[in-house]
Amino acid sequence: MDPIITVGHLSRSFRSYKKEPGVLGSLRSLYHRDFFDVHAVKDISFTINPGEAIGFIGPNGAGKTTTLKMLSGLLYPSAGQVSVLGYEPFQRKPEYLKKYALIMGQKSQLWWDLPPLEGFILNKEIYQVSDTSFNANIRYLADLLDVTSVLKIPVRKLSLGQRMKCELIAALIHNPQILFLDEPTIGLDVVVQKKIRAFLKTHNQEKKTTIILTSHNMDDVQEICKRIIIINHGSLIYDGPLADLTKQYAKNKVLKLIFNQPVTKTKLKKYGAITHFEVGGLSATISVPRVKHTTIAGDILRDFSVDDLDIAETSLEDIIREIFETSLQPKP
Amino acid sequence: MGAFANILWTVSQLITVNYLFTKIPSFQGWSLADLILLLSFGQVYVYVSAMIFDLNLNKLPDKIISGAFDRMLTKPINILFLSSFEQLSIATLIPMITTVTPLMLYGMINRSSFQLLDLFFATITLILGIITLYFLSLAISGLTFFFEDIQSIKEYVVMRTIDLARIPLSIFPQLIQSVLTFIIPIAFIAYYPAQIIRHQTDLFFIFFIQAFLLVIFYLTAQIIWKAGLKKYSGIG
Repeated sequence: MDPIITVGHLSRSFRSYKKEPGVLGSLRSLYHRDFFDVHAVKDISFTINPGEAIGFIGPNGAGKTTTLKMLSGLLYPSAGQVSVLGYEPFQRKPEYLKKYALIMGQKSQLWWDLPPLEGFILNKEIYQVSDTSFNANIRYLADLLDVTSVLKIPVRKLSLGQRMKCELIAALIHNPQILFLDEPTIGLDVVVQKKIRAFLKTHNQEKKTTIILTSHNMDDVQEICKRIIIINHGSLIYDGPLADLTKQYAKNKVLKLIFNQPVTKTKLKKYGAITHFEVGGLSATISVPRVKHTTIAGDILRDFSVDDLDIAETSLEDIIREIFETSLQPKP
Repeated sequence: MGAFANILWTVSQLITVNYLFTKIPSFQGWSLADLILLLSFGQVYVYVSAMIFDLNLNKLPDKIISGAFDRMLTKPINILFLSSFEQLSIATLIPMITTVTPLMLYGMINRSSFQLLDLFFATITLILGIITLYFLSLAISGLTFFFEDIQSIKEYVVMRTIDLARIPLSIFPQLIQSVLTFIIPIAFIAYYPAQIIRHQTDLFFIFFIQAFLLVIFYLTAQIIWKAGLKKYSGIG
């Protein structure tokens, strides 16, 4: 299968400047500015196949959004090559722009003063969608996202959750082959988050739409994506299946214990790092080295009276945090 | 409310000019009807630009700096077109119909030498003048990609200078006349259309200069935007 997106040695830098605080600083900046370059994305390469759902993970300022903007043609790369659906994104050919959609959780794509339905109709004309396809899409998407009743209310009067669902509809009216999502669940309550995640997963499976998702919410990534790309300080540090990340980077496993007799923290310390200890000593969570977890579990069962033992993987959030904290070097 | 304020402004200008002509017989060879004509042509530019592109171009620097411009870039439409004409302000038609049209009719019909062909050529000059100033505004707005605080410059270069369009160009020194004809060509939205109606100008000279300026300002806007889009960074 030929890749739908090919990125080779992609980089993007921005020029910025520092300004001293106060009036003197402002006056000084009139004749002298301390300019410096910010290397938002540094020499990253990857390919994405049609129908894949990719999670793009990184801390704030890692270069996720910049990469997404270069893939969608909003930003011009400083160096490297990008090919999306056979197009060079920055040329922004109308044929290319009609084949993808970009949703930014913090920026509205809809017209603020118009009801969503009018925004959809505008998009229908802009993307030259046929009446039949438009009507079918609106019915299908509004039903699925449960927003039929708000389609005629001005966007500025909608709740954040309703607005985000309408943003999704606006983005999907023209049946894009690629969906770029930049933090689509930011600020939403857990119920709406769950609904949007379920919708995206279904859409990816049924319509085979390629999804590239950036999010700080690991539930988004775990539920929608099978593959993840991690970048930090603009460099790519992991590209592979989500399942392999745990094997590769999770050095510990978690033992969740319930005792039928109270135990002391001091006695448990020798088995591993205690991450949770209930006052009264009847339950505890211990992080233990992955390679020794069965031996340690056996020792605990032998030394204490245990009612329940659950051996779990370290959460994705903890793995990602550990990766960022240890500042892993980019792939060679 | 904006439309009502515009009507009041035009009426106040009319009262001032009218009062002036109770004290003097003519203003450097311009009669009351001539000055009303000049005023009405200038107002046509103000209302047409406010209706079609001014609102959009005024909002553009903020959109570019805040990153709201991203939304526009993803649409499969010419970005200059979308940036300029995304939102129309139909309300400006009200002062245009209620005040400018009667004033213009008064300024034109109230003269023995008036011919319909004059109105046709004056309208062509006015339209070309509006398009040229649109490209100038577009070019200045595009400078936001390079320099952040461009809105204040645009306000002084285009919006404030428009006030001078309502004064006969011939009263200014030669240098100012050249600036208002070739650099910030506001002379083509009021002075030259009025001169065509007054039979005081060479049509071929005006059309030649206008065509030249139109091409220059169009190319300038294109070059600035092409380079600016490459430099665009947005935020977030």
